[in-house]
Amino acid sequence: MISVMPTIIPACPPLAPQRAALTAVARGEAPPVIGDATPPIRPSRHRPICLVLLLVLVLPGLCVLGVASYFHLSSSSGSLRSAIMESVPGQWHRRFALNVGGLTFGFARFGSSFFHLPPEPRAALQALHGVEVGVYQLEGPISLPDYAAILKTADKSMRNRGWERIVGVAQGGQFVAVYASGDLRLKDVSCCVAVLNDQNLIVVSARGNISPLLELARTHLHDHGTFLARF
Amino acid sequence: MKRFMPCIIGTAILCAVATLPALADQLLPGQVDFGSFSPPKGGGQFVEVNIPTALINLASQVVAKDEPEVAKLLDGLKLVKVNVIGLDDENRPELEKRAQKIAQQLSGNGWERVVSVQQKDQDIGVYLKMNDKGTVQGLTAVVINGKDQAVFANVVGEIKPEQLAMLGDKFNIKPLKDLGIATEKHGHEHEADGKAEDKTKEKSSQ
Repeated sequence: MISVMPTIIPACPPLAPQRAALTAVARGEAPPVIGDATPPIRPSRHRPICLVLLLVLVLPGLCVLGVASYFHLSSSSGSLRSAIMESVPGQWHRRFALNVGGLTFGFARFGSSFFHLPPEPRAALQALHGVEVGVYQLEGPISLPDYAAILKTADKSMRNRGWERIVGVAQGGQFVAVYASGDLRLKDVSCCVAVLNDQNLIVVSARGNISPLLELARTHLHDHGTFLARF
Repeated sequence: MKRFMPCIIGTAILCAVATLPALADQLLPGQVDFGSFSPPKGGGQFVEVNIPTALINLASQVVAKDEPEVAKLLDGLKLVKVNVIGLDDENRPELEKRAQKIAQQLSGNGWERVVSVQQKDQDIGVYLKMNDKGTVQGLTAVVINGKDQAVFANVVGEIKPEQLAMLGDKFNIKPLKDLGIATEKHGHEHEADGKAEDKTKEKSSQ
């Protein structure tokens, strides 16, 4: 059983034609016919010019940002680098930094599909989705770093970004830390490695799908009659 | 009802937040908390390997086609943790004390010491934790190796001591591999000693 609630319409000033039409439709009535009171909106002559101008201004900016991103590490690798640098006092200099992201690898994969490539580089291209490398050098002589402080700071910083340390090695002037992202899958493996060797710090990060590489390894090793379970 | 919904949601969130630390601290069956280790200040050896379940599963998928037996072993594992700390005058007393404390805790918590070697400065203890059905839940090894290093290893999941070397080999963890080899060696010696004892007992009874 459907009960219809009586609606009380209070006295109110007349609505604008468009508003009145909407109210009538909401009530289930036929909308009133609206006359040609409002003029039709004409496309502005200046709009295409504005769009072109915007593109001309924005595109170079985007290009500059894109090119600059090749020389800056991502936030995760950057935070690992910063954590280590904070714990090893001194003046650090950037020697080299390169960040090749998924878009570039995507273009490379697309481009390589038109050429005949040996299976090894093709598998590498298919596997890699992003690579970052940063090389830094400390100015002046270095005393033995406090590895406990380095690990503590780096672990905290990386854990906040969803990374867990799987390896930590320190001896003498050498230090290695390997971090892996929390959700590891064959098709999406990410790892970040930091190596501190005396005055040099190297941060490497890679992201990718290891299935093509494994397939290649299997094929090769089976061809040679053995399969070494190294991963 | 609508009026109470925010209260109910708020209470649920508060409860969840309150239980989070408890969940985080909860250890898996067979897992041992060794505490945190710091690298020796004198620049001595420090190795820490912590392989979580996700990485073990990944490794299992990698070898599943070609080495199903290894994959089966890996499928039964949940965590592999190995700590190797070089001993120096500063950290030796603390680490020896910690090794003793861990051994006492394990003995009191239903862990069975399956390998026990005490020679000169070497002290090896391998412990197994089993559930009521006899399934292995975890393996722990505590080694004070002379004056050189201390090794603390914990493998959570179904593993036998004789599989340690294989696991160390597959994950390329040399300390674990060495520990496995030592365990196997001393296990065999133990078995041989046991058999010799049995034979002497049989002879004496005859």
